[in-house]
Amino acid sequence: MDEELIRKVRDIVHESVLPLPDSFHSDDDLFHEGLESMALMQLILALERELHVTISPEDLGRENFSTLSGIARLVSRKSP
Amino acid sequence: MSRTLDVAVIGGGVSGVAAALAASGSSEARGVGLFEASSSLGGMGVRAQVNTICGLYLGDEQPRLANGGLCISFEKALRAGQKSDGLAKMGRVWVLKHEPAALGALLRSGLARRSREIDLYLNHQVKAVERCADGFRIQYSNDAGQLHTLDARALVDCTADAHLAPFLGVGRERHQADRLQRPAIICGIRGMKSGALTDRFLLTLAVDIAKSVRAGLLSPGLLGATFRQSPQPGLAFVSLDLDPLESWEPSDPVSVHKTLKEGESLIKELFGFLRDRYDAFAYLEEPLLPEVLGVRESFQWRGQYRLSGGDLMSNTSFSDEIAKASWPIELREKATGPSFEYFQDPCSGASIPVRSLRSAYFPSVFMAGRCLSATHRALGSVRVMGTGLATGQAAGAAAALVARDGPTAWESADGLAEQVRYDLKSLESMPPFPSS
Ligand SMILES: Cc1cc2nc3c(=O)[nH]c(=O)nc-3n(C[C@H](O)[C@H](O)[C@H](O)COP(=O)(O)OP(=O)(O)OC[C@H]3O[C@@H](n4cnc5c(N)ncnc54)[C@H](O)[C@@H]3O)c2cc1C
Repeated sequence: MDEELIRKVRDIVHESVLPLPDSFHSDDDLFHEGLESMALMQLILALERELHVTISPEDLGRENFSTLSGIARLVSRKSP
Repeated sequence: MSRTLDVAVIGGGVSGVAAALAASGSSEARGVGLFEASSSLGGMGVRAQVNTICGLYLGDEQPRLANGGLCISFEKALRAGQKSDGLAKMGRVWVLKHEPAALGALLRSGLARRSREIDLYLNHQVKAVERCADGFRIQYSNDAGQLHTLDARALVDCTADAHLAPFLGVGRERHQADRLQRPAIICGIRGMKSGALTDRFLLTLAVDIAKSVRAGLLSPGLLGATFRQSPQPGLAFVSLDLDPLESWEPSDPVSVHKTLKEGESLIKELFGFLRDRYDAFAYLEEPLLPEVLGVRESFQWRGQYRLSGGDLMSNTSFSDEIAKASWPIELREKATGPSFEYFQDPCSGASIPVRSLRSAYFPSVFMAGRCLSATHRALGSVRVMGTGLATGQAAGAAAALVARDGPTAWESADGLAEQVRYDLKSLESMPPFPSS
């Protein structure tokens, strides 16, 4: 798994939607941490903007969005 | 000469109802009055259509009630009275979803069972309060706008805005006006296809709305609309945090009204979008609009102790504890969504001292719910309804003791808290809320 990408995703989540404690691990559940739909909307827009990917409704699903590593996997699949 | 009440509770939200019930049950109170300006009980939890009770539970794997006293029969009755169990996990914490009308009815039935001890003044707004020989003279207006007065030995302010402080000529506390929690509008959704709101569909909605906003097809104010199924079949709610247009002033009716209207027009736009775009919403009925705007934060009393975010986060234990907070510090100040800070030890909850429910100026004035003495951060936790029930019952029990024996008899916070804890425990054997 691309540690660099996970770190970028973590920064985006932390800066733009949900402050994460240092102890938050890349496989910990974001919904458990308090991610909800408002934050999710902002997160999708921020990911598209900062990482130059397009996320479509088919990419949705808790498996892709519930952890930092899940989001990183999705982004790397989507990257050109 | 009008008669003198022992305790007057002002404000009939969850905290006020709990205060009146506890005041009437915990000592041989000679009379409790509950004044509510509107025609219904439950405050924000009914009229703003807030539909989830937070702060009732502790615990991670298994929910446990954070507080005793009335909270026990309240939780049981509310769960039993709903079509489906509203117990659910949100983030790391447990909540109880409720249908606003069911909450209002339950609070009313609790008061009805104590109608000999509690005089309920619905549609009666308290307009002024002054000190008098026996304690306080309350001036209130009835449905027809006529003014009356009544005296009370002790007061409990459950108005959510600390209205009694300026009446009594003392200042209220408030966080910086431009850093207050954002207000919100919550609307009921009826007429959607049953079972439509699956987790997956909720995610789809979130992405579609975000992208439509970016494409300029929807107003930016709709970013963040949050959907939730109600325990009542066929009913769901959407809530939308709002950015008030001009300088937001929660105590100014004009500012509140403007913000509500702005919210309503965004919701109507959203409903149009949903109807056009999804089969599940093709036959959506008009939104069930709230009676009032959802105001999260306004003014607090200055108490003998101002509870801080640090106290909660570090689970500071107070010797005059009378209730437990269990909801994380939830702040919704920014358009990027809420932040949650969990207590260091989430399983044991955090201590709320009786001093934060007692006025720094008047030893016979108590407060609970959203206007107790707390900093902006602490209020992000303790304002929730489950904690409001707990602070309400404690404030009511404390006010009854002070009314009976005089404030000097209960000067010591530790002594008062000990008796309040005892009285609340005894309330458990005569629950006001029906068990089935
Ligand atoms: C958008 C939003 C979402 C929320 N979400 C949740 C949630 O999911 N879970 C949760 O637990 N909490 C939530 N809350 C917080 C919670 O709803 C409130 O903090 C809580 O209901 C406050 O209870 P209260 O008894 O202090 O005041 P209120 O419920 O505001 O009641 C105050 C009452 O006092 C009356 N009153 C005021 N002045 C006078 C007067 N002079 N004379 C007579 N009566 C008077 C008012 O009419 C009102 O009925 C939310 C709040 C908002 C705004």
